[in-house]
Amino acid sequence: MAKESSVLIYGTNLAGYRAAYALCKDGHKVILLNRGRYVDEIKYQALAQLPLDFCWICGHMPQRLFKALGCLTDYYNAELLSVEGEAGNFKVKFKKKDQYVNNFACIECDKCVDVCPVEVDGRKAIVVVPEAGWENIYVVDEENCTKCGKCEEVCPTACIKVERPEETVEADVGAIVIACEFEDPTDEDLADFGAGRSPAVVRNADVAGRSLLTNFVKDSVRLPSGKVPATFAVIVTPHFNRPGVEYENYNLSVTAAYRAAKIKELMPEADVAVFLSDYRGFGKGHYRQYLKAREAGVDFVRAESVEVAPAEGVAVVKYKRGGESESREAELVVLVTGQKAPATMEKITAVTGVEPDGRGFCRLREFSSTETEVPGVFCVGECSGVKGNPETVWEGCALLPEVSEYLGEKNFKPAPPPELRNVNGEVPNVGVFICSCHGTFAERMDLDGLREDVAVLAGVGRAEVVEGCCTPPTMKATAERIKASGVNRVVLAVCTPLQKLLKYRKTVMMGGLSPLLLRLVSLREDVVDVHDDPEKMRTKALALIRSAAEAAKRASQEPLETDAFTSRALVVGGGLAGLEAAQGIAAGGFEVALVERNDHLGGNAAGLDEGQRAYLAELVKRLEENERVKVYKSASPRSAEGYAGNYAVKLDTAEGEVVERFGVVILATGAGDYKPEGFLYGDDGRVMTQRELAEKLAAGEEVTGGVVMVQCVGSRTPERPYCSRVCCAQALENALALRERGAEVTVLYRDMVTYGAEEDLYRSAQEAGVQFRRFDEDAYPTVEAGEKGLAVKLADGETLAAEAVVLSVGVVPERENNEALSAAFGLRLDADGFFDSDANAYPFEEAIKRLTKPFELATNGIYAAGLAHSPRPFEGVLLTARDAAGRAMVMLGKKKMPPPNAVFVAGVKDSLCMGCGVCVDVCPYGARVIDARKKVATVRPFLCDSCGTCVAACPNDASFLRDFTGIQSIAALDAVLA
Amino acid sequence: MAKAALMEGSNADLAARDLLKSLLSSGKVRGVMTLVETGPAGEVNYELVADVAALENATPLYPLMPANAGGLLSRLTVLEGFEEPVAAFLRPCELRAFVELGKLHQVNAENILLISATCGGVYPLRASLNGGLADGLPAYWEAVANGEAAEGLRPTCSACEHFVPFGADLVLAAVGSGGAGRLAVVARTPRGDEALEGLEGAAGEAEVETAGVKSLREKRGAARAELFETEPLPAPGLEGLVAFFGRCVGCRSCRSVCPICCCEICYFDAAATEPTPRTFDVHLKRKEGTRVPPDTLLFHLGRLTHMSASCVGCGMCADACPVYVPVATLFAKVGAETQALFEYVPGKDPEEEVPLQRFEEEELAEVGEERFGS
Repeated sequence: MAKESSVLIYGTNLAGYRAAYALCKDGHKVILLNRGRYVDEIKYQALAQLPLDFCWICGHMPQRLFKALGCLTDYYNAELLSVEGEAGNFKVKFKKKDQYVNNFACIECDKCVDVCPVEVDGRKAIVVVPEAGWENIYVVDEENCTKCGKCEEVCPTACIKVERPEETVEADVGAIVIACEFEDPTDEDLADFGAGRSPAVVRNADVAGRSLLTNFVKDSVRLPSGKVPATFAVIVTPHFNRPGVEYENYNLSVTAAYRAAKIKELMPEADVAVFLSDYRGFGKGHYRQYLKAREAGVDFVRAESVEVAPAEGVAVVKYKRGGESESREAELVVLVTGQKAPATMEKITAVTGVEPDGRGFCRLREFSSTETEVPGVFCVGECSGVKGNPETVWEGCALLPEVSEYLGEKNFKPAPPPELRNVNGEVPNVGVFICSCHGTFAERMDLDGLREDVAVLAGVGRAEVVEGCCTPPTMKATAERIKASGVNRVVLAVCTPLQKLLKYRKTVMMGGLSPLLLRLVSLREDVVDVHDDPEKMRTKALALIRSAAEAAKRASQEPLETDAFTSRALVVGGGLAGLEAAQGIAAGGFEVALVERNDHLGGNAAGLDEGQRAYLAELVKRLEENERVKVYKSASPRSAEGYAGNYAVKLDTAEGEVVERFGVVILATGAGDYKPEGFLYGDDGRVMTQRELAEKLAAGEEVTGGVVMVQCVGSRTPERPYCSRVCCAQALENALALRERGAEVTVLYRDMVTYGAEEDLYRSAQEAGVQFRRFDEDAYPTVEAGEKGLAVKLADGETLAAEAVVLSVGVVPERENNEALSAAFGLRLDADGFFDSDANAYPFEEAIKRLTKPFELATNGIYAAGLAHSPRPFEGVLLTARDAAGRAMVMLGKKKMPPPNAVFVAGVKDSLCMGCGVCVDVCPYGARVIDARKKVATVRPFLCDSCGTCVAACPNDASFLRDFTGIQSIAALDAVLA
Repeated sequence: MAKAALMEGSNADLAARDLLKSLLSSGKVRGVMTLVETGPAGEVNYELVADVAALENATPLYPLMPANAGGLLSRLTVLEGFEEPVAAFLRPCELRAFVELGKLHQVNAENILLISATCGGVYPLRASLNGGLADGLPAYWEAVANGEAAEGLRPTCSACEHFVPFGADLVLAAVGSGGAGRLAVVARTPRGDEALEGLEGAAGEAEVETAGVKSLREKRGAARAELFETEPLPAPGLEGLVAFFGRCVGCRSCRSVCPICCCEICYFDAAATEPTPRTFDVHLKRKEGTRVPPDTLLFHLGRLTHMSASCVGCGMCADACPVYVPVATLFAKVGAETQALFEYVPGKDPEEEVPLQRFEEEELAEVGEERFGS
């Protein structure tokens, strides 16, 4: 039986949206089941925790785009009923109920609200959802609605139906992706911290929510009494909550530091304390966030237990530190809360057969980033366990290489764009189309009068009032009128261009004109909704339209530039990350060249456990047998030229120099272990690293007696202000192994960076009798060789006798190698010397901003994966590799790549350009080069983000933005002022 | 002290010619770019000479500048460099223009032996009309040899402080050479050393910084201060500028002779900037009136904005102005201020970026604060 191509996504977490995006782009139709009534009704991790003071919901714009293109079908009020069949050929049954108000057709005129006869609590039975900021979503309050049908009658676009039956739908899909959402702890769960019992106790998400549209200001933390608190306590609750209630991901430590620093930034005189057991932010930027908060004067209290007693006007934080009970008053307590296991788990198990793990999250197949133990059923995002925000996003794209083996031939291809008329050489003839918004604008102002005013403007050949151009029928009608009028420039006087831009562009394109010939006026925002005097409205609307018409007149049609895209990937590095990425891309049907500097694949396998070794060995075998993968051993890239889709890379190989062409490049060159200095390391054989100890244990060497472990050797220091995280887990595993052999183990640590599964490891080690002692960053223990054994001296003067000292060293980047590759491929390094990339943007504040952006903007087609990107454990390395592979696959499938902004890219007037290179230097996207032959600047359209920096920098006005030339702007300004 | 050759010659010009001759005849270079006398009444032009005999008319240091040779050399080499070695004799300001143009990717310096000299300055081009310069030449050379300031030079020459070249391969120590009749050619680079090797008189060592150079530098400094004070520069503000450029006929000569203005076609010549009837319409509605054609000031301010940081003060623009607007003095003054702001000396260090090219997200905040408050 042929495999199905479509995919069902159940749930709406951010990774699910990303998966939908990646699948649609890759050419697979997607069905998205939303259990809620509207987009984002059920909050997912990034939204529920709201670590930052913005939300970025509009990151889901692609959802609308793909829906419009026809590759995404989303159902609301949906629930999965049954799954039959097997991977590749599932038959799924689900129920759904369409939205009462079809979001897609609603023009937000509010008429339905006006006519609704029901009044409850000062509102109607049809209301605008207050939480969604990016557009007004109208929902019907089912409880109070009388189904009188008045709203349905009055709706100008017929998007309301008061009867929406529940329906059952069946579909054939190749794979199922579970993307269920985050579960917030309840006030009861947080009872120990006074949640819900006092206005002096709030959750961080509330603070962030309040500052969403205003940035973080004093009002964001103002108490109901009107007072701005002067003392704050920020508590990371999962560190102190009862076991099994809520789980933490490392975001929480970082969020706490971020929030505390923000408060100090705003109110330097405030007293701000952060309560946590350990600071668990790791890797890029997160330790820096801690340092930043501390520098700002935040007091970090590492407590053993914390409770909050809300009192009148102030909350008392009672805590234990170093065995001593202490307390501290705070006028505002900010709770940074964790997450519970998904409430949908039982349902998931019943319908799909996927079993929960020990904590109630979806269990994944070993070594998979997204697939469950039921073949063909996947799980992405927070549903499969606690993880940081970036990781929840990466899983969306990481799904692609893992799911592709189950999917049949691609079943979606976007329709070709409409044929465009060539208007070059024609005298500009502007058509002005004034939207009546289904008659609603006409009630507010004299649209016909306006049309008469506009019709006599110079250069305006046609002025018409149209019903609309944002719903499919009105778009079609307006397009036909554009075509019939014969105009060659268009002004649309409409609304909300930011939200409806693509529809407007599509409308003029259906009318046969290039979108470059279009100018928009925000009739609603600038006129209809902000004025009352009809005369003023008419004057202002006329001025705006006159201005737009002048700009439109000067618009010129330019061809759509596309770039050829080489469907071939280069992977540098034959370690775990490189192998996994190459394997994933090859499985997606693309050719890959893998370059490894050593004479064997597999990288540095020391320190891996048996299962991991087996996985790696299998990967090497499969790769070497794969016909789509060309392996160069003892080889390395020497230099690279080009850009996304068109790289020419010179490789030094065993057979000499080879030049190959690639579309994308994945850098997976790995990293090294820090080589410790001091602690007698290298001078005394009894001092070793964790990895060396693991090898000894694996070789069966006896280690008994006292063992002292020192954490953070060379990590979180002024020279390397970052945490590798892997060393804590390594230490715990080794300590447990030593305990089994009867050795006494003491771990000297600064913070135990454990979360998720490692939290259990930490608890097991404590239960097994491993001693943990904290030391300060400026008081590292020292090691001396004594008479019998080693002596570890602590800062307080105490000495521990030990037969062996084990140093936990972090991961360090291969700076020299990274710098050479960075220069060759133009992929920047972060402050620590690891690769930074848009795909794997790391510090979580960056990740949400950069990863949820609607399109692959200005990407250079180079991704970093594995340790070359950041220190990570085995599974983490696999995740970054699969994310990179997924992103690469999305691009590799295209033979031709239109620029991300289609026609809206910068251009160069050759005759004015003298090739001085100023634009090359200032372009932030590397989208400009000097043509070697003609000595003039040229634009790489695929990289251009049309930011206009080159236009500002060019001394001779040779650079221009195609839709925003200086001449257009001056004319538009003159006209609006005339 | 650096390696040097001592050239015979009663003045620097003759010594320079001898140097070029021996370079060409020894085969070290295939051609020479130099000023050549082309008419009986002191007409000179730049030529690229390949034959030693033709160098008889060469007059490398004739005190006239018919064009800025830095700009000329840039146009010759912008697309590709010389295939064979060529010597080019440039005055210090011409050399600086050449270096500036290099930073703007307008030059291919391959195979060029750059020769310069400490410079006594040049006369305005109109001073040479009807052979008007000939009589004064002996006095000029005497002044140069003694480190004196000659009279009647281009105003920007009298006020030039950078008359010692920065980066040439070979430098002829013309200023302050005394009356001995032997002039030193000092090698500044390995390429210069190589060029001197085996040349007649190439045994000694010499300095470019003679006592005459020092004394001339002082005089020039004083003259510069005086020029900026006495020359009729525009009063601050729009009205002053309008008055200053009131005579401008819009011929664009200042631009076409400027070595730094290197655009092939200027924005101001593009059809896109042609005023439309609507332009006037808009002006009429908003102002008392407008100059026809408009944008005279915009043109000059545009030039000031784009190239004052790189202005080498050669004075070509003022010399080319048919209506005697002292535009070079304005550019020199504004240029000095702009350059001081960026601590930048145009044409000094080929490795240093032109301020225009350096993209800073934030800069000159202090200027804004000073002018407009923080």
